[in-house]
Amino acid sequence: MQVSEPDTQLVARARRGEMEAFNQLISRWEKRLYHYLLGILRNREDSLDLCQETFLKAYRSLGSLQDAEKFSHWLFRIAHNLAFSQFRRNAGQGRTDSWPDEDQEDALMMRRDTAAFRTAGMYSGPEMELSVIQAMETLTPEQREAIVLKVYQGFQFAEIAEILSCPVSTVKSRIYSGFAQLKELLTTDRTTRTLPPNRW
Amino acid sequence: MNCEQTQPLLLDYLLEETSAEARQNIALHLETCSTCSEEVGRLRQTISLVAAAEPKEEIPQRFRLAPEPANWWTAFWHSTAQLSFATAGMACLAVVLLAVFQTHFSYEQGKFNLAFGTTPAIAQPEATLAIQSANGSGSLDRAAVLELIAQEVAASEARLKEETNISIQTASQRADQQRRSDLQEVAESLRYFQSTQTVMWKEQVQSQQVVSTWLQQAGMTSERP
Repeated sequence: MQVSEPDTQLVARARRGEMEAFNQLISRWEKRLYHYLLGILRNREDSLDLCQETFLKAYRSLGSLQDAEKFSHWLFRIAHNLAFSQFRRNAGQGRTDSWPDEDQEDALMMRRDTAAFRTAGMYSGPEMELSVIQAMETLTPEQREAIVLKVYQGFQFAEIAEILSCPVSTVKSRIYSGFAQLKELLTTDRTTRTLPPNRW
Repeated sequence: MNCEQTQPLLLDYLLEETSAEARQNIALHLETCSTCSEEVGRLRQTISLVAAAEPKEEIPQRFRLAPEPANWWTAFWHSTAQLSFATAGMACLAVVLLAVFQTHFSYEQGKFNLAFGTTPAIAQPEATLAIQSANGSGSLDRAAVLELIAQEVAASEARLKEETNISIQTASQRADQQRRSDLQEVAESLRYFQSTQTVMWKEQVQSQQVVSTWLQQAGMTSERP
């Protein structure tokens, strides 16, 4: 059985001009990167385009990578920056999936309460998955991105902070608030805790 | 640990972001606290639901970098064949230009002189040429140098003539030997042919005599003489 070459060696080879080594890095990371972008952009075409752009940018600026051990963090950081730029462009074009400001929290709260959520115990399988996706969409993009990086990509808080270029405390805050919101929406006793008692 | 200390760490505990010691303390507290255990249960359920909804679809398009075609200038400098061809072309062009413009090179007193067109008038020193003689005793004047050159040329011509004569004699001897050898070979061949013919004639005559004898004995006459 062939042992796969570590990222550090592939990065070193790619720096020496071996394009095939970088293609191996692409094969290793493209699916995870695509899912990360899909998780925050929620658009397949944009995710695919940005995924390709991320790898191109990474290849061109491979010389600026100081620590080859942190290739994955660096790659996701490039993707994050590109996604953020995409959000800003979309905001300029008036598209609805723009990165929200803090003052849009109220609008999100309204959307959260009117969303087609039901208690998680009533659903299973694909319906449950749809509920979770809808619940994730009620999060701010920052919360969603931090949770995607933590739960789906398996990064540590410190690594996420590095990717997002923010303090670890900010990462924790986003993840805590995001999970608090998801817990409220997805766990079984939500109805009894949130709905007014006289309504039933 | 009490509930106030434990609850802010519950998510870190489930996401494995706590130290081993804190993890052990939280686990101990959860064994005894039903409130915190219930909270951990809800958080764990939430995390499991989120994890289960992870996108599983395959990436619709695989990426692969392909080398960009280099521009002609870069390709030229990286191609040994093209560089060799260009060098040869430049050399040919230089030779043609030198021939067309009747370029004259000269080297005098540590300097290269280059002139186009007519033969450059190189300033001839009027003084004696500072040529060291063989024994290094002193300098020679121009006439002496010319005389020495003439003597050397005459000696060289004599040597060349002598070598030519020797070569001609050698070639003549070889040709003579070859001719004799060829004649001997032809004579040998003729002798062999003659002896072979003689034997054949003899055998033929004997055969005819035997046949004639047989015919006479049988009372028949031969039509052949």
